[in-house]
Amino acid sequence: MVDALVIEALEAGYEPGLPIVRGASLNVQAGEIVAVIGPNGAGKSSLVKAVAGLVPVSAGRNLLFGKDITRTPAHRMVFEGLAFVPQTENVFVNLSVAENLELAAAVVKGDAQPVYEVFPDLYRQRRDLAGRLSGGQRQMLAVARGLIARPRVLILDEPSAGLSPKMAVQVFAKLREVRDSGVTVLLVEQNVKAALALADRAAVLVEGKERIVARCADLLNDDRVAELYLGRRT
Amino acid sequence: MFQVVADGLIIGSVISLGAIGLSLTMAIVRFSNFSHGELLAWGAYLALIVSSLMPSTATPIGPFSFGWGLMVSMFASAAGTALLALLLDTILFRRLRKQGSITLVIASFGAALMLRNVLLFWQGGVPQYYSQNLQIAMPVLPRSFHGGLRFTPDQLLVLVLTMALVTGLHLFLRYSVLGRSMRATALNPALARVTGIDPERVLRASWMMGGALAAVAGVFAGITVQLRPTMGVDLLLPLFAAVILGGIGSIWGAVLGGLLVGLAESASVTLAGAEYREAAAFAVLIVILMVRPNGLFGEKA
Repeated sequence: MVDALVIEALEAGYEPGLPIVRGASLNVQAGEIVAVIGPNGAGKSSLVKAVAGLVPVSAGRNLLFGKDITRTPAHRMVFEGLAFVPQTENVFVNLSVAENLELAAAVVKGDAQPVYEVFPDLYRQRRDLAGRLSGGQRQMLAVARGLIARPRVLILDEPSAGLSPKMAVQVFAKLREVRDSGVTVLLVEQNVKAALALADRAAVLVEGKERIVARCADLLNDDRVAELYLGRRT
Repeated sequence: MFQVVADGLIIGSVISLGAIGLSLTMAIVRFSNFSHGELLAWGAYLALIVSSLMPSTATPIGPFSFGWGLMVSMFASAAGTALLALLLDTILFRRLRKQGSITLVIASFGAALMLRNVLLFWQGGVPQYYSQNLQIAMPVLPRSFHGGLRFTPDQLLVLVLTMALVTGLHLFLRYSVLGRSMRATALNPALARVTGIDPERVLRASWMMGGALAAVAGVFAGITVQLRPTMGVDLLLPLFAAVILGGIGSIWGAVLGGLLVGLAESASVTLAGAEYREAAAFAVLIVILMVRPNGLFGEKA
Protein backbone atom coordinates (compact mmCIF):
# COMPACT_ATOMS: atom_id res chain seq x y z
CA MET A 1 0.00 0.00 0.00
CA VAL A 2 1.10 3.57 -0.76
CA ASP A 3 1.29 6.10 2.05
CA ALA A 4 -0.94 8.99 1.04
CA LEU A 5 -0.26 11.07 4.13
CA VAL A 6 2.45 10.56 6.73
CA ILE A 7 2.46 12.64 9.90
CA GLU A 8 5.78 12.25 11.72
CA ALA A 9 6.30 13.32 15.36
CA LEU A 10 4.35 16.51 14.72
CA GLU A 11 4.39 19.34 17.22
CA ALA A 12 2.12 22.31 16.56
CA GLY A 13 0.29 25.08 18.39
CA TYR A 14 -0.87 28.66 18.13
CA GLU A 15 1.61 30.09 20.68
CA PRO A 16 5.37 29.48 20.54
CA GLY A 17 6.41 27.07 23.31
CA LEU A 18 2.84 25.92 23.97
CA PRO A 19 2.26 22.99 21.61
CA ILE A 20 -1.22 21.51 21.44
CA VAL A 21 -0.12 18.69 19.17
CA ARG A 22 2.77 16.96 20.97
CA GLY A 23 4.64 14.53 18.81
CA ALA A 24 1.70 12.94 16.98
CA SER A 25 2.42 10.38 14.25
CA LEU A 26 0.01 8.77 11.82
CA ASN A 27 0.13 7.05 8.44
CA VAL A 28 -2.87 7.23 6.12
CA GLN A 29 -2.69 4.84 3.21
CA ALA A 30 -4.07 5.66 -0.23
CA GLY A 31 -7.75 4.80 -0.53
CA GLU A 32 -8.34 4.61 3.21
CA ILE A 33 -10.69 6.47 5.48
CA VAL A 34 -8.92 7.17 8.75
CA ALA A 35 -10.67 8.78 11.72
CA VAL A 36 -8.99 10.72 14.51
CA ILE A 37 -10.98 10.41 17.73
CA GLY A 38 -10.28 11.41 21.29
CA PRO A 39 -11.59 13.42 24.23
CA ASN A 40 -12.23 17.16 24.10
CA GLY A 41 -9.02 19.16 24.12
CA ALA A 42 -6.93 16.26 22.84
CA GLY A 43 -5.69 18.38 19.91
CA LYS A 44 -7.62 16.60 17.14
CA SER A 45 -8.65 19.76 15.27
CA SER A 46 -5.24 21.35 15.80
CA LEU A 47 -3.60 18.22 14.34
CA VAL A 48 -5.53 18.36 11.06
CA LYS A 49 -5.26 22.15 10.89
CA ALA A 50 -1.49 21.83 11.29
CA VAL A 51 -1.43 19.36 8.39
CA ALA A 52 -3.53 21.82 6.34
CA GLY A 53 -1.11 24.67 7.12
CA LEU A 54 -3.44 26.63 9.38
CA VAL A 55 -1.62 26.01 12.67
CA PRO A 56 2.14 26.69 12.94
CA VAL A 57 4.28 23.52 13.14
CA SER A 58 7.25 23.68 15.52
CA ALA A 59 8.66 20.16 14.99
CA GLY A 60 8.11 17.01 12.96
CA ARG A 61 6.94 16.81 9.36
CA ASN A 62 4.05 15.93 7.07
CA LEU A 63 4.49 14.04 3.82
CA LEU A 64 1.87 13.95 1.07
CA PHE A 65 2.59 11.02 -1.22
CA GLY A 66 6.23 11.32 -0.17
CA LYS A 67 6.50 15.10 -0.66
CA ASP A 68 7.25 17.21 2.40
CA ILE A 69 4.39 19.70 2.83
CA THR A 70 5.20 20.76 6.40
CA ARG A 71 6.02 24.35 5.45
CA THR A 72 3.66 24.62 2.47
CA PRO A 73 1.36 27.66 2.99
CA ALA A 74 -2.31 26.82 3.51
CA HIS A 75 -3.32 28.41 0.19
CA ARG A 76 -0.90 26.17 -1.75
CA MET A 77 -2.22 22.90 -0.26
CA VAL A 78 -5.01 22.47 -2.83
CA PHE A 79 -2.39 22.69 -5.57
CA GLU A 80 -0.42 19.91 -3.86
CA GLY A 81 -3.51 17.69 -3.80
CA LEU A 82 -4.72 18.19 -0.23
CA ALA A 83 -8.11 19.73 0.53
CA PHE A 84 -9.33 20.73 3.98
CA VAL A 85 -12.93 21.17 5.14
CA PRO A 86 -13.08 23.15 8.42
CA GLN A 87 -15.57 22.29 11.16
CA THR A 88 -17.37 25.63 11.34
CA GLU A 89 -17.67 28.57 8.95
CA ASN A 90 -16.80 26.18 6.15
CA VAL A 91 -18.70 27.96 3.38
CA PHE A 92 -18.76 31.60 2.27
CA VAL A 93 -22.15 32.51 3.69
CA ASN A 94 -22.65 35.70 1.68
CA LEU A 95 -21.91 33.98 -1.63
CA SER A 96 -24.40 31.77 -3.44
CA VAL A 97 -23.87 28.01 -3.70
CA ALA A 98 -22.75 28.47 -7.31
CA GLU A 99 -20.38 31.33 -6.36
CA ASN A 100 -18.82 29.18 -3.62
CA LEU A 101 -18.11 26.38 -6.07
CA GLU A 102 -17.18 28.57 -9.04
CA LEU A 103 -14.71 30.52 -6.91
CA ALA A 104 -13.05 27.31 -5.71
CA ALA A 105 -12.95 26.08 -9.33
CA ALA A 106 -11.60 29.35 -10.71
CA VAL A 107 -8.79 29.49 -8.16
CA VAL A 108 -7.47 26.07 -9.22
CA LYS A 109 -8.52 26.60 -12.87
CA GLY A 110 -10.89 23.67 -12.52
CA ASP A 111 -14.53 23.01 -13.29
CA ALA A 112 -17.47 23.09 -10.88
CA GLN A 113 -19.73 21.02 -13.14
CA PRO A 114 -18.51 17.51 -12.20
CA VAL A 115 -19.17 18.28 -8.53
CA TYR A 116 -22.82 19.03 -9.31
CA GLU A 117 -23.10 15.48 -10.66
CA VAL A 118 -21.91 14.10 -7.31
CA PHE A 119 -24.10 16.55 -5.36
CA PRO A 120 -27.27 17.03 -7.44
CA ASP A 121 -29.06 18.82 -4.56
CA LEU A 122 -26.47 21.59 -4.75
CA TYR A 123 -27.24 22.10 -8.43
CA ARG A 124 -30.90 22.64 -7.57
CA GLN A 125 -29.89 25.14 -4.85
CA ARG A 126 -27.08 26.81 -6.81
CA ARG A 127 -28.70 30.26 -6.70
CA ASP A 128 -29.37 30.16 -2.94
CA LEU A 129 -27.11 32.00 -0.54
CA ALA A 130 -24.87 29.50 1.26
CA GLY A 131 -25.78 31.17 4.54
CA ARG A 132 -29.42 30.17 4.04
CA LEU A 133 -28.69 26.43 3.65
CA SER A 134 -29.50 23.95 6.41
CA GLY A 135 -26.61 22.51 8.42
CA GLY A 136 -26.52 19.32 6.36
CA GLN A 137 -26.72 21.10 3.02
CA ARG A 138 -24.01 23.46 4.13
CA GLN A 139 -21.78 20.51 5.06
CA MET A 140 -22.42 18.96 1.64
CA LEU A 141 -21.41 22.26 0.03
CA ALA A 142 -18.27 22.37 2.17
CA VAL A 143 -17.32 18.84 1.06
CA ALA A 144 -18.14 19.69 -2.56
CA ARG A 145 -15.96 22.81 -2.33
CA GLY A 146 -13.12 20.65 -1.04
CA LEU A 147 -13.50 18.21 -3.94
CA ILE A 148 -13.43 20.88 -6.65
CA ALA A 149 -9.63 20.85 -6.73
CA ARG A 150 -9.74 17.05 -7.31
CA PRO A 151 -7.62 16.40 -4.21
CA ARG A 152 -5.83 13.14 -3.56
CA VAL A 153 -6.37 13.57 0.18
CA LEU A 154 -9.45 15.15 1.75
CA ILE A 155 -9.27 16.20 5.40
CA LEU A 156 -12.45 17.01 7.32
CA ASP A 157 -12.73 18.51 10.79
CA GLU A 158 -15.83 17.07 12.50
CA PRO A 159 -18.09 16.79 9.46
CA SER A 160 -21.08 15.69 11.57
CA ALA A 161 -20.84 18.55 14.09
CA GLY A 162 -24.21 20.19 14.60
CA LEU A 163 -26.03 17.83 12.23
CA SER A 164 -29.07 15.71 13.01
CA PRO A 165 -28.30 11.95 13.15
CA LYS A 166 -30.16 11.48 9.85
CA MET A 167 -28.17 14.22 8.15
CA ALA A 168 -24.90 12.90 9.60
CA VAL A 169 -25.65 9.49 8.04
CA GLN A 170 -26.09 11.18 4.65
CA VAL A 171 -22.83 13.08 4.99
CA PHE A 172 -20.97 9.90 5.97
CA ALA A 173 -22.53 8.02 3.03
CA LYS A 174 -21.23 10.77 0.75
CA LEU A 175 -17.76 10.43 2.26
CA ARG A 176 -17.83 6.70 1.44
CA GLU A 177 -18.63 7.64 -2.17
CA VAL A 178 -15.74 10.10 -2.12
CA ARG A 179 -13.38 7.38 -0.91
CA ASP A 180 -14.72 4.94 -3.51
CA SER A 181 -13.88 7.52 -6.18
CA GLY A 182 -10.22 7.21 -5.17
CA VAL A 183 -9.81 10.04 -2.67
CA THR A 184 -8.09 9.26 0.63
CA VAL A 185 -10.02 10.63 3.60
CA LEU A 186 -8.76 11.72 7.03
CA LEU A 187 -11.40 13.01 9.41
CA VAL A 188 -11.65 14.22 12.96
CA GLU A 189 -14.88 13.16 14.60
CA GLN A 190 -16.54 13.55 17.99
CA ASN A 191 -19.21 11.01 17.15
CA VAL A 192 -17.01 8.00 17.92
CA LYS A 193 -19.51 5.28 17.05
CA ALA A 194 -20.30 6.82 13.67
CA ALA A 195 -16.62 7.45 12.96
CA LEU A 196 -15.63 3.89 13.74
CA ALA A 197 -18.50 2.61 11.58
CA LEU A 198 -17.34 4.75 8.65
CA ALA A 199 -13.55 4.55 8.80
CA ASP A 200 -11.16 1.72 8.00
CA ARG A 201 -8.77 2.66 10.76
CA ALA A 202 -8.77 5.16 13.61
CA ALA A 203 -6.27 6.91 15.81
CA VAL A 204 -7.10 7.74 19.39
CA LEU A 205 -5.47 11.07 20.25
CA VAL A 206 -4.86 11.99 23.89
CA GLU A 207 -3.02 15.14 24.98
CA GLY A 208 -1.78 15.83 21.50
CA LYS A 209 -0.31 12.39 20.79
CA GLU A 210 -1.75 9.22 19.33
CA ARG A 211 -2.31 6.54 21.97
CA ILE A 212 -3.81 3.79 19.84
CA VAL A 213 -3.91 3.36 16.07
CA ALA A 214 -5.83 0.30 14.92
CA ARG A 215 -8.49 -1.04 12.60
CA CYS A 216 -11.92 0.23 13.60
CA ALA A 217 -13.29 -3.28 14.13
CA ASP A 218 -10.52 -3.88 16.66
CA LEU A 219 -11.06 -0.54 18.35
CA LEU A 220 -14.76 -1.22 18.78
CA ASN A 221 -13.78 -4.25 20.87
CA ASP A 222 -10.91 -2.53 22.62
CA ASP A 223 -11.74 -2.21 26.30
CA ARG A 224 -9.69 0.98 26.70
CA VAL A 225 -11.61 2.72 23.93
CA ALA A 226 -14.91 1.31 25.09
CA GLU A 227 -14.40 2.61 28.57
CA LEU A 228 -12.90 5.95 27.64
CA TYR A 229 -15.01 7.00 24.70
CA LEU A 230 -18.06 4.78 24.35
CA GLY A 231 -19.05 4.79 28.01
CA ARG A 232 -19.08 0.97 28.22
CA ARG A 233 -17.94 -0.61 31.47
CA THR A 234 -15.78 -3.76 31.24
CA MET B 1 -35.23 71.23 0.22
CA PHE B 2 -34.15 69.84 -3.18
CA GLN B 3 -30.93 71.85 -2.96
CA VAL B 4 -30.16 70.31 0.46
CA VAL B 5 -30.56 66.83 -1.04
CA ALA B 6 -28.47 67.72 -4.09
CA ASP B 7 -25.66 69.22 -1.99
CA GLY B 8 -25.80 66.15 0.23
CA LEU B 9 -25.43 63.85 -2.77
CA ILE B 10 -22.38 65.79 -4.02
CA ILE B 11 -20.64 65.65 -0.62
CA GLY B 12 -21.85 62.05 -0.28
CA SER B 13 -20.29 61.02 -3.62
CA VAL B 14 -16.83 62.00 -2.42
CA ILE B 15 -17.38 60.35 0.97
CA SER B 16 -18.75 57.19 -0.69
CA LEU B 17 -15.72 56.69 -2.94
CA GLY B 18 -13.32 57.23 -0.06
CA ALA B 19 -15.40 55.00 2.20
CA ILE B 20 -15.37 52.07 -0.27
CA GLY B 21 -11.58 51.89 -0.15
CA LEU B 22 -11.56 52.26 3.63
CA SER B 23 -14.23 49.57 3.97
CA LEU B 24 -12.24 47.17 1.77
CA THR B 25 -9.06 47.59 3.80
CA MET B 26 -10.98 47.35 7.09
CA ALA B 27 -12.63 44.10 5.98
CA ILE B 28 -9.64 42.47 4.28
CA VAL B 29 -6.57 43.87 6.05
CA ARG B 30 -8.61 43.92 9.29
CA PHE B 31 -7.71 47.18 10.93
CA SER B 32 -8.96 50.77 10.95
CA ASN B 33 -6.55 52.66 8.73
CA PHE B 34 -6.40 56.25 9.94
CA SER B 35 -4.03 57.17 7.13
CA HIS B 36 -6.70 56.49 4.49
CA GLY B 37 -7.81 60.14 4.49
CA GLU B 38 -4.29 61.20 3.56
CA LEU B 39 -4.50 59.02 0.45
CA LEU B 40 -7.40 61.24 -0.69
CA ALA B 41 -5.28 64.35 -0.17
CA TRP B 42 -2.26 62.82 -1.92
CA GLY B 43 -4.47 61.68 -4.80
CA ALA B 44 -5.88 65.18 -5.20
CA TYR B 45 -2.43 66.82 -5.18
CA LEU B 46 -0.84 64.20 -7.47
CA ALA B 47 -3.53 65.00 -10.05
CA LEU B 48 -2.78 68.72 -9.63
CA ILE B 49 0.93 68.14 -10.14
CA VAL B 50 0.46 65.91 -13.19
CA SER B 51 -2.05 68.29 -14.78
CA SER B 52 0.32 71.25 -14.21
CA LEU B 53 2.85 69.38 -16.36
CA MET B 54 0.40 69.52 -19.26
CA PRO B 55 -0.67 73.21 -19.42
CA SER B 56 -1.86 72.84 -23.02
CA THR B 57 -4.60 70.45 -21.87
CA ALA B 58 -6.10 72.90 -19.35
CA THR B 59 -8.60 74.45 -21.79
CA PRO B 60 -12.04 73.69 -20.32
CA ILE B 61 -14.06 70.95 -22.01
CA GLY B 62 -17.58 72.18 -22.87
CA PRO B 63 -19.42 73.42 -19.77
CA PHE B 64 -16.84 72.03 -17.31
CA SER B 65 -14.27 74.11 -15.44
CA PHE B 66 -11.31 71.87 -16.35
CA GLY B 67 -9.65 70.42 -19.42
CA TRP B 68 -9.18 66.81 -20.41
CA GLY B 69 -5.70 66.98 -18.87
CA LEU B 70 -7.29 66.74 -15.42
CA MET B 71 -9.13 63.54 -16.38
CA VAL B 72 -5.85 62.02 -17.63
CA SER B 73 -4.14 63.27 -14.46
CA MET B 74 -6.84 61.64 -12.37
CA PHE B 75 -5.98 58.22 -13.84
CA ALA B 76 -2.27 58.86 -13.31
CA SER B 77 -2.99 59.97 -9.76
CA ALA B 78 -5.12 56.86 -9.12
CA ALA B 79 -2.19 54.69 -10.25
CA GLY B 80 0.29 56.72 -8.19
CA THR B 81 -1.87 56.64 -5.05
CA ALA B 82 -2.45 52.89 -5.50
CA LEU B 83 1.33 52.46 -5.49
CA LEU B 84 1.64 54.78 -2.48
CA ALA B 85 -0.89 52.63 -0.58
CA LEU B 86 1.01 49.49 -1.56
CA LEU B 87 4.28 51.11 -0.49
CA LEU B 88 2.77 52.00 2.91
CA ASP B 89 1.76 48.38 3.36
CA THR B 90 5.14 47.05 2.25
CA ILE B 91 7.34 49.26 4.39
CA LEU B 92 5.06 49.66 7.41
CA PHE B 93 1.87 47.66 7.87
CA ARG B 94 3.06 44.27 6.59
CA ARG B 95 5.91 44.26 9.09
CA LEU B 96 3.50 44.97 11.96
CA ARG B 97 0.65 42.68 10.91
CA LYS B 98 1.58 39.95 13.40
CA GLN B 99 1.56 42.48 16.27
CA GLY B 100 -2.23 42.83 16.08
CA SER B 101 -4.73 45.44 14.98
CA ILE B 102 -4.05 47.97 17.80
CA THR B 103 -0.41 48.29 16.71
CA LEU B 104 -1.55 48.75 13.11
CA VAL B 105 -4.04 51.45 14.09
CA ILE B 106 -1.37 53.39 16.03
CA ALA B 107 1.05 52.97 13.12
CA SER B 108 -1.61 54.33 10.77
CA PHE B 109 -1.87 57.48 12.93
CA GLY B 110 1.88 57.93 12.51
CA ALA B 111 1.67 57.31 8.76
CA ALA B 112 -1.15 59.87 8.50
CA LEU B 113 0.88 62.54 10.31
CA MET B 114 3.90 61.86 8.15
CA LEU B 115 1.95 61.92 4.86
CA ARG B 116 0.05 65.08 5.79
CA ASN B 117 3.14 67.01 6.82
CA VAL B 118 5.16 65.94 3.78
CA LEU B 119 2.30 67.25 1.65
CA LEU B 120 2.13 70.48 3.66
CA PHE B 121 5.90 70.98 3.33
CA TRP B 122 5.81 70.18 -0.39
CA GLN B 123 2.69 72.04 -1.50
CA GLY B 124 2.21 74.66 1.26
CA GLY B 125 -0.92 75.33 3.28
CA VAL B 126 -2.64 77.72 0.87
CA PRO B 127 -5.77 76.23 -0.74
CA GLN B 128 -5.34 75.43 -4.43
CA TYR B 129 -7.75 74.81 -7.31
CA TYR B 130 -7.62 72.70 -10.45
CA SER B 131 -9.00 75.60 -12.43
CA GLN B 132 -9.43 79.33 -11.96
CA ASN B 133 -12.52 79.28 -14.22
CA LEU B 134 -15.69 80.23 -12.42
CA GLN B 135 -18.76 78.08 -12.92
CA ILE B 136 -22.32 79.32 -12.70
CA ALA B 137 -24.76 76.77 -11.27
CA MET B 138 -27.47 75.85 -13.78
CA PRO B 139 -31.05 76.08 -12.54
CA VAL B 140 -32.69 72.64 -12.74
CA LEU B 141 -35.83 73.57 -10.77
CA PRO B 142 -37.14 77.17 -10.37
CA ARG B 143 -36.62 78.92 -7.03
CA SER B 144 -40.40 79.12 -6.59
CA PHE B 145 -40.55 75.30 -6.40
CA HIS B 146 -39.46 74.37 -2.81
CA GLY B 147 -36.51 76.75 -3.01
CA GLY B 148 -35.34 75.46 -6.40
CA LEU B 149 -32.39 73.33 -7.44
CA ARG B 150 -29.10 74.33 -9.06
CA PHE B 151 -26.15 72.24 -10.12
CA THR B 152 -22.80 73.15 -11.65
CA PRO B 153 -21.78 70.93 -14.59
CA ASP B 154 -18.75 69.80 -12.53
CA GLN B 155 -21.05 68.59 -9.74
CA LEU B 156 -23.22 66.65 -12.17
CA LEU B 157 -20.13 65.03 -13.69
CA VAL B 158 -18.87 64.01 -10.24
CA LEU B 159 -22.23 62.36 -9.50
CA VAL B 160 -22.31 60.50 -12.82
CA LEU B 161 -18.68 59.35 -12.59
CA THR B 162 -19.18 58.17 -9.00
CA MET B 163 -22.15 56.05 -10.00
CA ALA B 164 -20.24 54.63 -12.99
CA LEU B 165 -17.23 53.78 -10.82
CA VAL B 166 -19.35 52.17 -8.12
CA THR B 167 -21.22 50.09 -10.69
CA GLY B 168 -17.94 49.00 -12.30
CA LEU B 169 -16.53 48.08 -8.91
CA HIS B 170 -19.67 46.14 -8.06
CA LEU B 171 -19.39 44.13 -11.29
CA PHE B 172 -15.69 43.51 -10.62
CA LEU B 173 -16.32 42.23 -7.10
CA ARG B 174 -19.29 40.16 -8.19
CA TYR B 175 -17.99 38.47 -11.33
CA SER B 176 -14.18 38.52 -11.48
CA VAL B 177 -12.08 35.83 -9.78
CA LEU B 178 -10.01 38.46 -7.96
CA GLY B 179 -13.14 40.32 -6.90
CA ARG B 180 -14.77 37.16 -5.57
CA SER B 181 -11.49 36.24 -3.86
CA MET B 182 -11.53 39.64 -2.14
CA ARG B 183 -15.12 39.13 -0.96
CA ALA B 184 -14.28 35.63 0.22
CA THR B 185 -11.20 36.81 2.13
CA ALA B 186 -13.19 39.60 3.76
CA LEU B 187 -15.83 37.09 4.86
CA ASN B 188 -13.62 34.25 6.06
CA PRO B 189 -9.82 34.52 5.67
CA ALA B 190 -9.03 30.98 6.88
CA LEU B 191 -11.53 29.37 4.52
CA ALA B 192 -10.26 31.57 1.68
CA ARG B 193 -6.75 30.23 2.29
CA VAL B 194 -7.76 26.57 2.26
CA THR B 195 -9.74 27.25 -0.91
CA GLY B 196 -6.44 28.22 -2.55
CA ILE B 197 -6.75 32.01 -2.46
CA ASP B 198 -3.38 33.70 -1.94
CA PRO B 199 -3.98 36.14 0.96
CA GLU B 200 -1.03 38.36 0.01
CA ARG B 201 -2.37 38.83 -3.53
CA VAL B 202 -5.77 39.81 -2.14
CA LEU B 203 -4.16 42.22 0.35
CA ARG B 204 -2.13 43.88 -2.40
CA ALA B 205 -5.24 44.24 -4.56
CA SER B 206 -7.19 45.74 -1.64
CA TRP B 207 -4.51 48.33 -0.89
CA MET B 208 -4.20 49.31 -4.53
CA MET B 209 -7.94 49.49 -5.10
CA GLY B 210 -8.45 51.48 -1.88
CA GLY B 211 -5.65 53.87 -2.87
CA ALA B 212 -6.97 54.37 -6.41
CA LEU B 213 -10.52 55.07 -5.19
CA ALA B 214 -9.21 57.45 -2.54
CA ALA B 215 -7.33 59.34 -5.25
CA VAL B 216 -10.49 59.69 -7.37
CA ALA B 217 -12.43 60.84 -4.29
CA GLY B 218 -9.68 63.37 -3.60
CA VAL B 219 -9.83 64.71 -7.16
CA PHE B 220 -13.62 64.98 -6.93
CA ALA B 221 -13.28 66.86 -3.62
CA GLY B 222 -10.74 69.14 -5.32
CA ILE B 223 -13.08 69.77 -8.25
CA THR B 224 -16.15 70.50 -6.13
CA VAL B 225 -14.47 72.30 -3.20
CA GLN B 226 -10.70 72.97 -3.17
CA LEU B 227 -7.37 71.30 -2.42
CA ARG B 228 -5.85 71.63 1.05
CA PRO B 229 -3.21 69.43 2.71
CA THR B 230 -5.70 68.85 5.55
CA MET B 231 -8.55 67.77 3.25
CA GLY B 232 -7.86 64.11 4.08
CA VAL B 233 -8.01 64.43 7.84
CA ASP B 234 -11.10 66.65 7.51
CA LEU B 235 -12.83 63.86 5.60
CA LEU B 236 -11.60 61.03 7.83
CA LEU B 237 -14.40 61.00 10.40
CA PRO B 238 -17.18 61.16 7.77
CA LEU B 239 -15.42 58.29 5.96
CA PHE B 240 -15.40 56.12 9.07
CA ALA B 241 -19.02 57.09 9.81
CA ALA B 242 -20.00 56.00 6.27
CA VAL B 243 -18.18 52.66 6.54
CA ILE B 244 -19.68 51.80 9.92
CA LEU B 245 -23.11 53.03 8.85
CA GLY B 246 -23.10 50.88 5.72
CA GLY B 247 -21.50 47.83 7.32
CA ILE B 248 -17.80 47.02 7.12
CA GLY B 249 -16.86 45.27 3.87
CA SER B 250 -20.03 46.19 1.97
CA ILE B 251 -19.51 48.24 -1.20
CA TRP B 252 -23.12 49.32 -1.49
CA GLY B 253 -23.17 49.87 2.27
CA ALA B 254 -20.25 52.30 1.93
CA VAL B 255 -22.02 54.06 -0.94
CA LEU B 256 -25.29 54.38 0.95
CA GLY B 257 -23.46 55.26 4.17
CA GLY B 258 -21.51 57.98 2.32
CA LEU B 259 -24.65 59.42 0.79
CA LEU B 260 -26.48 59.41 4.15
CA VAL B 261 -23.56 61.13 5.87
CA GLY B 262 -23.45 63.66 3.02
CA LEU B 263 -27.18 64.31 3.34
CA ALA B 264 -26.94 64.67 7.13
CA GLU B 265 -24.07 67.14 6.76
CA SER B 266 -25.90 69.13 4.09
CA ALA B 267 -29.14 69.24 6.11
CA SER B 268 -27.33 70.34 9.27
CA VAL B 269 -25.58 73.19 7.41
CA THR B 270 -28.97 74.48 6.23
CA LEU B 271 -31.00 73.79 9.37
CA ALA B 272 -28.58 74.25 12.26
CA GLY B 273 -25.35 75.78 10.96
CA ALA B 274 -22.04 74.53 9.53
CA GLU B 275 -20.55 73.99 12.99
CA TYR B 276 -22.95 71.07 13.58
CA ARG B 277 -21.99 69.32 10.35
CA GLU B 278 -19.99 66.42 11.78
CA ALA B 279 -22.27 66.12 14.80
CA ALA B 280 -25.23 65.54 12.45
CA ALA B 281 -23.38 62.77 10.62
CA PHE B 282 -22.63 61.02 13.89
CA ALA B 283 -26.18 61.46 15.15
CA VAL B 284 -27.40 59.54 12.08
CA LEU B 285 -24.69 56.92 12.72
CA ILE B 286 -25.77 56.43 16.34
CA VAL B 287 -29.46 56.16 15.46
CA ILE B 288 -28.85 53.56 12.72
CA LEU B 289 -26.44 51.51 14.84
CA MET B 290 -29.05 51.34 17.60
CA VAL B 291 -31.41 49.68 15.11
CA ARG B 292 -28.82 47.71 13.10
CA PRO B 293 -25.62 47.17 15.13
CA ASN B 294 -23.76 45.68 12.13
CA GLY B 295 -24.64 48.63 9.90
CA LEU B 296 -27.13 48.77 7.04
CA PHE B 297 -25.55 46.00 4.96
CA GLY B 298 -23.25 44.44 7.53
CA GLU B 299 -23.60 40.74 8.22
CA LYS B 300 -21.71 38.40 10.42
CA ALA B 301 -19.38 36.19 8.38
